[in-house]
Amino acid sequence: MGLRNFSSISAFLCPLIFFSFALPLLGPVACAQADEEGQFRYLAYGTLGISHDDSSNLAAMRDISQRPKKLNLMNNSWVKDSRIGLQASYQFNSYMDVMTQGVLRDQHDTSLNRYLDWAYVNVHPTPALDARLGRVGYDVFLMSDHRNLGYAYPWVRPPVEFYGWVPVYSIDGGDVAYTLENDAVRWRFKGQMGRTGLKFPMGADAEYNFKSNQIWSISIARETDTWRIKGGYSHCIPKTDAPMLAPLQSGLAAVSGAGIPGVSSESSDLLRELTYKDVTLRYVNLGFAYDDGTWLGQAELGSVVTTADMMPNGTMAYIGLGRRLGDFTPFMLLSGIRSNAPVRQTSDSWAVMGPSGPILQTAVVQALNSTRFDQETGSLGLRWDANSHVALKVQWDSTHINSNGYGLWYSDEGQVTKNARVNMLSATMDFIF
Amino acid sequence: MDNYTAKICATRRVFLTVFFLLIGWVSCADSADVVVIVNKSNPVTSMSSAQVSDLYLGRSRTFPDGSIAHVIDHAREAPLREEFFRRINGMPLNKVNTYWARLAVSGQIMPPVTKTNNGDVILAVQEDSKAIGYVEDSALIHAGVVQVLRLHD
Repeated sequence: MGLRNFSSISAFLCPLIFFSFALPLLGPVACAQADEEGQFRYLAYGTLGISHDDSSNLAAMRDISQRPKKLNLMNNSWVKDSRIGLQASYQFNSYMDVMTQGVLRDQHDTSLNRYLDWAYVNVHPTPALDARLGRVGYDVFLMSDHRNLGYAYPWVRPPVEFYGWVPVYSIDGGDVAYTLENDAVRWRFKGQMGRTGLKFPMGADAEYNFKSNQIWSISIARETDTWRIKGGYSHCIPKTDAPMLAPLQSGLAAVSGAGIPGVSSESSDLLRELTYKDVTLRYVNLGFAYDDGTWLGQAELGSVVTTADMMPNGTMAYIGLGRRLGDFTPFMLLSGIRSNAPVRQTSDSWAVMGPSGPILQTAVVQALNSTRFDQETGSLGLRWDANSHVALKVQWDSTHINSNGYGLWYSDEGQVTKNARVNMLSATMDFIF
Repeated sequence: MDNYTAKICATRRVFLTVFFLLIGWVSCADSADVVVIVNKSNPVTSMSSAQVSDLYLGRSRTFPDGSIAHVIDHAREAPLREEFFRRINGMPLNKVNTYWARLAVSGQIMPPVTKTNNGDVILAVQEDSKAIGYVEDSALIHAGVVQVLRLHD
């Protein structure tokens, strides 16, 4: 059923992609046939970046859809922040346009489908109303729909504590936005609904094929010349589970049914938490951005509540401040996240199940603790707008990770029960043409 | 005064004359008015800075009378574009560029069509009854367009 659904979506998206990328090849013919408002637009953008950290047993990620490949070998990474995007659009008239956007970036899921961020038809029957159908950008947080465009923000990457564990870039479905202008204030109300899918790496060689047919969101944004305020709520229910959890779930089910006082009830509790399938995720977010031409600041506060602790949850926030000095913008950034899930501990009581009891309990506890996030980062950096198309940035990050809070890192197993501090130096060149 | 000294003085005078002419030319270029234009068939005859700013920031898609506007801009790096945004809303060009980059990549709104010089902007406004553009005052010698706003330094 799932495969059939995704195939039908691909059947819908493919003509859109073909239309936007292939029609321009017809050049003058296509343009001649378009009415006076017909316009092809192209946009290319990207980031070339390198980062170096001082940790020998941790590997950093930009988001949890990545799988660092050379843990313990090199602390340099060219691929983490580097990416290139290509956008093509065609405006039929004042009421309709189509747009496609592909982004080549480092991610565990290398299927062609995953590199296509957008492919949609946009209809706006009135100047205030936009309705999009197809693959549209996931738009809840302040930077949700332009995370890949480093040129648009001062820092090297969106704060990992906030954006690193929400790697959903697009949904297959549609959205409707209504814009209300009132003197110098612009309100935008938006709702989205659809389905999404993504493969996450789990450990050395396993993965979780996340799919959800029920993802929707609403957001309200208020914008003036200097302020941008956005609040959002998103709701998602995955319909798949991770295969690597199946043996643990079977073991817990057996222990739950064994009727051992204390142990069986604890096992039932763990079984309820150790799943991705049918878990409800609720995201709530409020963000502020300020830019008066000289000073710029941005802050967001968010919370994610889930009905099972295996699915990452927590409260996250960041605040960034910068000042334009001509073409240079020095900036600072503070960000942090605390998991809502408690740190699980093993106990001696499971020994009554024989040798396999403590082994099962340890494996389950490690699995649940592995998705916890508990860290904060302080950053300093400088952006230089070299010209109208290129910005060069350098940024230093110092991250403190608390024990059992390594969900945003690839790490040695022995590391996760200790605290750690990692310093990272990054340099990027962001461009847009 | 010997010939050598006279030559030096003459060279210095020529140099200073050219220098001040250049300074004067640059100053004139900087202080030239920027005029916002629409097609002559457009019923809109005047606009406020805020109304024009909203169109050029993608916050509005219509003229004050509610009709759709086709916004025509200059290239990202054009000095006139920097001057236009400085006068219309005080935004530095690097803020304008990051602002539009965000809007364009997020798909919120199609960015304006760009032209490479004043003449092309005027031509585009002449040919499109819904178009709005801006040019240097000195370039406005063509018929078929109407000035709706003048931006002084």
